[in-house]
Amino acid sequence: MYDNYPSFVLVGHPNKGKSSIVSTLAYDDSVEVSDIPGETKKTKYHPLKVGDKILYKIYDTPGFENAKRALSWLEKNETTSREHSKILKRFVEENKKSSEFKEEIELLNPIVDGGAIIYVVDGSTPYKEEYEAEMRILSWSGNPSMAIINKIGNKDYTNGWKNALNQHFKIVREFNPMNAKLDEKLKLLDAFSAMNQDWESSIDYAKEALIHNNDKMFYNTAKMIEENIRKSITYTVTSSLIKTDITDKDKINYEEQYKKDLIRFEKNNQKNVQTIWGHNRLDSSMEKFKFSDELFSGDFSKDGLIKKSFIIVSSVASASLAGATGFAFSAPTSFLDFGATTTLTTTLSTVGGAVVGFTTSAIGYNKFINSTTIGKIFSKKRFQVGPMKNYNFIFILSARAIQHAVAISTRSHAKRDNMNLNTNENSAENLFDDTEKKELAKISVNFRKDKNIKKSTEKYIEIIMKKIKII
Amino acid sequence: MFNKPKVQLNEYLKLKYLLNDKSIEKKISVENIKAYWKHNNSTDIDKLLQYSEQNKQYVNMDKIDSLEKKVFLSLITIMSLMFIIGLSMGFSLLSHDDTSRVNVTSFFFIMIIIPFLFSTVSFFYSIKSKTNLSKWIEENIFMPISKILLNSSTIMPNDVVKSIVFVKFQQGSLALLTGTILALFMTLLAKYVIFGWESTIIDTSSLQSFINFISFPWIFCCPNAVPSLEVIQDSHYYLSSNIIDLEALKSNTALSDSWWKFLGMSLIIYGFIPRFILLYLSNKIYHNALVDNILNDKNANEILLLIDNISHVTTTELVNEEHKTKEDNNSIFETNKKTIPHSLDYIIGWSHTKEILELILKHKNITASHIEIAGGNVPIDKEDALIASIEGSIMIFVDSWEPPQKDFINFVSSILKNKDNSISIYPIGMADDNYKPESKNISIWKNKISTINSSNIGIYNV
Ligand SMILES: Nc1nc2c(ncn2[C@@H]2O[C@H](COP(=O)(O)OP(=O)(O)OP(=O)(O)O)[C@@H](O)[C@H]2O)c(=O)[nH]1
Ligand SMILES: [Mg+2]
Repeated sequence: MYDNYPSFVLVGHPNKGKSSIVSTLAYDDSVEVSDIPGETKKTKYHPLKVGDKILYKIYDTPGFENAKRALSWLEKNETTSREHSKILKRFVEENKKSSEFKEEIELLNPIVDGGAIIYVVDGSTPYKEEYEAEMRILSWSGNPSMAIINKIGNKDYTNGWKNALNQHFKIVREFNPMNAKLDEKLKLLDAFSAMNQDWESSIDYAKEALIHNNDKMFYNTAKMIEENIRKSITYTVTSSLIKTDITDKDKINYEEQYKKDLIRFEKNNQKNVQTIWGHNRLDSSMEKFKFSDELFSGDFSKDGLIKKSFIIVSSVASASLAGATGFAFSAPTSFLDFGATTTLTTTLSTVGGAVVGFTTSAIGYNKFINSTTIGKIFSKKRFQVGPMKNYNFIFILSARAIQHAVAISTRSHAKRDNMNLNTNENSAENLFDDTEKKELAKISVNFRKDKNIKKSTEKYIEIIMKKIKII
Repeated sequence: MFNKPKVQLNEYLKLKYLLNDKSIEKKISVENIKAYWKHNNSTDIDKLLQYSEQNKQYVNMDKIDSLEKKVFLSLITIMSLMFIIGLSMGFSLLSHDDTSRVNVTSFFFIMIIIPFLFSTVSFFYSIKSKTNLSKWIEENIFMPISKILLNSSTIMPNDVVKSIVFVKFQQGSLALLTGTILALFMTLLAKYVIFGWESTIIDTSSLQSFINFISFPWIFCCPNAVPSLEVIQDSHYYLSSNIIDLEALKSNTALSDSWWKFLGMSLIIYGFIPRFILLYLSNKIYHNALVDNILNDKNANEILLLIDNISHVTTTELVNEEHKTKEDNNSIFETNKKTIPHSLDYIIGWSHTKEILELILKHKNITASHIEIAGGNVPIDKEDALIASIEGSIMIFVDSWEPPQKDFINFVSSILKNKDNSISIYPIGMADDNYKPESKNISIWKNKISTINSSNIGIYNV
């Protein structure tokens, strides 16, 4: 049924965004895109496949370099106009070895094999007659063809281009590879399929495949985030057994370890999300966790709930938390005392600012160092940092993960710059509505207590999906 | 969306049939693939069920229908049989003799304690893994029973059969209980029943403490369903005594009231509730057995792999070449920077029309002895003639925003073959920008020209 898949060959002047369009359509950030003209030297194709069935191939080609002389070769050898495609074939065959027409041969190869022509121009620079030669060469193939106007710069010469292109192409579309959403890609595919009716079923199938693929990437992203959040919430650093009390220096070391690990988890998660979306070469960075001192260093036991630190959970989530944890938030004295652990207090002011990501006083880790006495006879102790008991944690981590995921999922594969994300301390506040806050608070408790994991996981993934899939 | 998959027997049988019939070609059509795509998070079971739904035309439904019918018939048979047994046992126990005296103790032990123990033990048997005893029970009790019930089919493996039989067991004992309860109420409705007890080893007070213990769950909510010490004392020897003042008894309603309420409550608390729980659990075990059995099937895993492979979307072919680091062309050759020479022999507009070139020249206030155009639509022979005749100092105006192509490089290279010629390139910007070029574009031209590697060509630095 789909044995005769179409090939789409992107051709045009150098540096007009051919590779960029291929890159975004193929979700491949390894395509050579550069502001130096002549970046693409060899023709390469990217197949869209379901299983091992190819639905279409997109070809990236080098730009024309010597069009006028190539056209003159063709005209010199012209017999009748019915023979044009044959002569074009002959041109490709006879000049295989010539360096003069190296780029022309590269780009014409897939066309003489029957590939449809997608002629790419830059709508931000004016049309000039020198383009005529290229278009006339292409028309010798007699293949289905269309044109894409890609506006690289800010100026607008689109109308001039449309007039010129309409002489040669039945279909002329505007497309921007730098910010094209899935929807626009699908519309472009529609234009592709309009070139030849036989391709309709193949393209329709391809569109469904792309939609599915998109959904799947969102789902996998949410799943990835969930795994990392659960890991981070439950994470602890535990010392070996020791007899005496822990020294301040050791405490700081354990805390540092804890913080570093959490940062590493987040970084890894971001890397994984990028891989899901095919941004394999992307270098991304995210602003550090920027918690103001009061946000976390406040003593929860005294006036925790009133403090700014609990804004997120206090207003809506505390009620459900009180239920879920079995103690009331309005009696904060119990907050630190529950469980069989004794809380030690450390002064964190001695810790240098060498931490990447979390700022030092950030999470008030001193509240999370627990010493547990393992058996009275030996009176040995084990010190433990974490798990994070602050219920804001899930909101802050989730908001960061969502922000990153949204940036990645909306990023064009044609982009080659690095990605730097600025975070906003309050983003977690405004990101979730009241019901979501309640649910997240419960999920946080469940994750930490290893309770209702399956349900909580599913619920969490659902919430994340809702937040990242913003098309 | 996230519901745990539950497999019905019918679905299970169809799927098993499909998986085990080697003659069926494992085909997955485009339509099937699209169906798989609908749910990103569908579980393996979902996928397999979909597979069987899509290939149901290959299934021999007669075979499956008959098997299902057998399971259903066995259910009906067991249920009605057990119901009748329960009913008749209830009646017989309630009618101790023709005077309708009831032995509470034997009723209690036979109808409540024994079934309770039996179902609890059998439940633990079903979840506990293999011991010698359970093996023996399986071989000598379950398998023969299941042979009779299901006519041992090859599709259904032992653990599935076992769980089916177990469910039937629970359903049967529920039917038995229903029969008993019905018998109790029918008897109470139709007759005046005298409850009594007698025993060689139990005395009144120990029976009372036993009854109190038994009725703990309802002692607070319905205290009149707990026979008091007096009632127990009064009903002692009612069974054997012949001198019962029936009229006096009938007026003392508390006596029989608290006994039948007690028995009824016991049936509910120790009969119905545990049975329902067990039925629920055994149903769960049964469904899990179906799911597990499918997921452990080698053929099922093959199909799943096939489904995953065949419905997987790839948008590109991953090439494992390292992204090449961009080399800096600037440092290879130094491009000459030119100033406008005092006297120009030639001015050439590259890919310009004559009119535009003149406009530019007027704007820039530059002129030369020869003004020509090349590139663009200029015919090749004209261009070649220009190359042959040109000499001296040459300035070429180019549109800075259009990248230099090979035809331009060839053009200037040909001119430079004459060593006396010198070229300066003048990149101009768009008319909208007052012909001022962008520096980004200038450097593109610079880089390209530097590849010619000649000191006779340079770029006019705007
Ligand atoms: N802002 C912006 N830049 C674009 C757009 N399309 C392409 N570019 C930039 O234009 C430059 C050229 O893009 P390429 O995709 O490499 O162009 P090409 O046609 O493949 O070029 P060659 O391979 O050299 O023929 C790159 O720097 C791109 O980042 C666009 O729509 N907007
Ligand atoms: Mg390119």
